[in-house]
Amino acid sequence: MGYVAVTGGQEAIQASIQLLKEYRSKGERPVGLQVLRDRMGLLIDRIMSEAGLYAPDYAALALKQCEGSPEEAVFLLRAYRSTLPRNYTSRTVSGDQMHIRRRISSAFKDIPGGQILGPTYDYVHRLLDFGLLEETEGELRQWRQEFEAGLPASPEGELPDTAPRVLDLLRAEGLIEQVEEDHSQPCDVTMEKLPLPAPRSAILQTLTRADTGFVSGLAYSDIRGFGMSHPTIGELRYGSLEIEVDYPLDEDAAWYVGDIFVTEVEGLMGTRAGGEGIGVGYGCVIGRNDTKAIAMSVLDHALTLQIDSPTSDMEFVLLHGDCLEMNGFISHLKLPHYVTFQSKLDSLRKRKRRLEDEQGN
Amino acid sequence: MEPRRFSKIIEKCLAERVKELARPIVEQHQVTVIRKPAKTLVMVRMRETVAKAEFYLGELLAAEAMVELEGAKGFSLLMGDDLDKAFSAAVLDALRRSQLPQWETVRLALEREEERQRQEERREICRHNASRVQFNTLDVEY
Repeated sequence: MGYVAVTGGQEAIQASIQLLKEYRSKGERPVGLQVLRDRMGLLIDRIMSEAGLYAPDYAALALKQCEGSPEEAVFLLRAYRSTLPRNYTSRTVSGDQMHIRRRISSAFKDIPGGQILGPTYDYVHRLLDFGLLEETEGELRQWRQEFEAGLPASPEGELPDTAPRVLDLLRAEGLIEQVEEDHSQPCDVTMEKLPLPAPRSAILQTLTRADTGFVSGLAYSDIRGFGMSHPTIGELRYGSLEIEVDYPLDEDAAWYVGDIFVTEVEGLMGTRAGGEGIGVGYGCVIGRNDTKAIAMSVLDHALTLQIDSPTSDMEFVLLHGDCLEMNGFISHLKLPHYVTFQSKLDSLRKRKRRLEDEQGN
Repeated sequence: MEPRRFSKIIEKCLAERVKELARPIVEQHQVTVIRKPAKTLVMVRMRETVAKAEFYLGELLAAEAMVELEGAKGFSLLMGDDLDKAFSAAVLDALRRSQLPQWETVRLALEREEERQRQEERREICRHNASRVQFNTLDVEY
């Protein structure tokens, strides 16, 4: 498709940008970045995950700047990220090392280390709480004090917050599908064009950065019947990972950079036709986002199946879920396409005239 | 105190406290900046469980610095964008690697801070452990 540039409208564009600020500044109260960061945590997590950048303060800033639009906030973070050097790559981390704050299994009720519900909306009534209309900071402070006081006393000695993987029990029994180990250098889709067929590292990186709604919708379609997955959550864990790099003044030593919070899922997807052992799908996303991590595990497994299904079509799944790319493309349709559309109209008019001439003859 | 332990205490320590500890060192000694405090990205490399493949989970924002203090280099790389904290942390790292007597005071302060962090972490674990659950099936035992 060819494009023709347009010009003009500078004053109107400036006025439009002013209007954006006017919309963003409605009302009497400012939006505090701390408030956004601390009390809109799930939204911050989603923005960071889709931007592929762990920076809670900047995610809050981006949301403030764009009236809370996730797609604009992701765009802002990605754009900012592209201005920074990447001087370090972490040492390899694994979910085994997670400091667990939530851990559940829908496959087994008794798991080594136990299940911890953690903060979850799974068991709340979805009823609007009108009491929050009058909630004050003083009341919240008092509630927090009472909450802390009501907790059981910390036991003496070690207080572990790591746990072995649930699926290791099935692996030990030989009930998990054997998959050839992949020790290749990971591909980085932020630095190179996504190769197709994509290596496993590129698939996982693309899915973890993908739009939450896209990943969830595709996984839903797969489970409903457009694919072959019948998932049971072997384990879902949420918590923090300690990120380390090599210490440059002594490369045998590690340097701790900080903690990041992630949600990791191992989904049991059923046995492949003609295969032995239960297939496993893997999902891991930045932040607290059960749905995206589960959906990622469904798609991860679906992409290994050789079946005629949209969710097993690598190009379809991997090339259409990036928040920035999909919204950018849809969004560009709003921009002037006057010349291309006029040429379509021209050819339609010519065809109509020709038909009329033919009928007249 | 080895770099891993030192950096973990420093990262979790309030910025003001780190700056406070570094201030007398900067005032009493010549500190040469080798790498100006600046923002950088750290790519997180992760291992998954199905094929044990490694992949890139995403980047995190960090602030880095490198300095020299009385012939000893000091480094820092801390999550976030606080350049002053990164500079102060690099000064303290150089102090840790130097033979200067002020390290002893700083070391004791960091050990106290580490204990405070440990207590806070235990409280956090307890808060979450309160939501431990034991589901029971009604009629079938697996």
